[in-house]
Amino acid sequence: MYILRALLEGADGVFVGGCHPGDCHYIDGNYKARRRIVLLENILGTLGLEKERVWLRWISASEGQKFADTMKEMTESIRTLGPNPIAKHWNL
Amino acid sequence: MTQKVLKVKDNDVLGSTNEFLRHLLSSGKIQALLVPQSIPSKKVVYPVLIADPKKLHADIIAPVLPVATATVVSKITKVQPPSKPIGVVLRSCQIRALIELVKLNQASLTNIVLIGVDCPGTFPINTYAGFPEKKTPTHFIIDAITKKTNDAEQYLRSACKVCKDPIPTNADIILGFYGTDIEKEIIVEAHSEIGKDLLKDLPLEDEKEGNAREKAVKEIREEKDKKRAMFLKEKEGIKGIEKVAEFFDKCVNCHNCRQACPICYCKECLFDSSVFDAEAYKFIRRAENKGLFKMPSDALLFQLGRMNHMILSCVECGLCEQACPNTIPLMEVFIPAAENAQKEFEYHPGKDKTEKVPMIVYREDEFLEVGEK
Ligand code: SF4
Ligand code: SF4
Repeated sequence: MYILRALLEGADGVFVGGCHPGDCHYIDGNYKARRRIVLLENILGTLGLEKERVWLRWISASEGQKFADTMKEMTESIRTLGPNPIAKHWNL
Repeated sequence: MTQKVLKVKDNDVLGSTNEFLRHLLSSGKIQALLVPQSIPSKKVVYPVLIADPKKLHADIIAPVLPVATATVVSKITKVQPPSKPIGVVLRSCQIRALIELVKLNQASLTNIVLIGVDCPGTFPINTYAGFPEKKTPTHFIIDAITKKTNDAEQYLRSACKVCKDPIPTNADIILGFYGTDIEKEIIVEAHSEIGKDLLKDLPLEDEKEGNAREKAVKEIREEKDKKRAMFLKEKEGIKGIEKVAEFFDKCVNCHNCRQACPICYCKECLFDSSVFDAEAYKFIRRAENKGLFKMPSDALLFQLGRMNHMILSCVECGLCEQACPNTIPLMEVFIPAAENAQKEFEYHPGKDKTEKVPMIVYREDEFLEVGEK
């Protein structure tokens, strides 16, 4: 929901981070989250809305460097995609 | 499975099926029947719960589905299932929906006898109520089943034209109209022990030799599969924000579609909750963000949010589309979305009541590439 809302408001990308599978404080939250993201991307794919703008990555609290690298990587990747075309649409 | 036939007297299909249902209700083995029956104006056929066999004048063929019968069964069984069996007559899409509701803990099959009927398709409720032909919609559709005419196709709801499977599965008893001449005899199959037991004492005849039923069922499934595949191909074009926004441009965010959907059972839908209430300055901020924004806002957010919540269980009954006051052809988007999402999770809504809905289970070793890289 929050991912969708951000995309429809015109965000160029949405990042979802979680602890590595098997490492979740809430036991299985990230396995379920993984399914949710697969479903969301599938629906966005059907409707030809750019699912490449949604990033799910597993990064634990102790992986500061990985977080920084991933952010850079994501920024680069979204830059090549260009601005979110949904941002122009005010009538959704 | 045991197969029998119900003899039809004087070409009176409804008279004979009603006699059969009355026998069933009088047998003492079931305490009530939920059947499609005309209301006095004859304009609509509703699910009607019948306790007195003398009051039973069902029309199990009437091509109309005003509400989700699965939701009605949920209403009857959710608080406390019946203590003695109730028989419920359902089309295939409604059996599928009911099984999804059972998995979602919204209905119970305890003491529910599922009586499935072959579905020749249904007309939009307004077409049915003001049917323009000389014949009644029921007789019109009987002519279509007996292949005397092809004309019924033009009146079918779009969901029915491309129905996933018009032949019921998971029923205790099936009343079959295909593979027989229904003006002479109707096929009655028992698919469970309780089904067999109920048929035991009814005035039915043993099945004749031959596999006409099997062949006809295969044919109709193949024909519908072909039509559905064509529909999916035709609708591939609704892609990209321009087209998607245009597709939903008449959506006024009334949520009737959600109300009509058998799968959307949530009493407190997020989209009707106070989550979207906000202070004036937040509206202004949103206007400032894009320079302007249409109100009511968030129609597309509602559509995509609803899809995310229920598409894996969507049984393609098309009731959402029938309920839309602005006639948005919702199936053009919901069928492709259901097809793709259900394929991804190898999930078949309504197929197996012991299967869990995909969003509450997971495997550790699946979708391993997601979240890595
Ligand atoms: S979304 Fe529409 S087609 Fe799917 S189950 Fe709900 S009402 Fe039926
Ligand atoms: S019924 Fe039609 S107008 Fe109302 S919310 Fe659903 S799609 Fe939009």
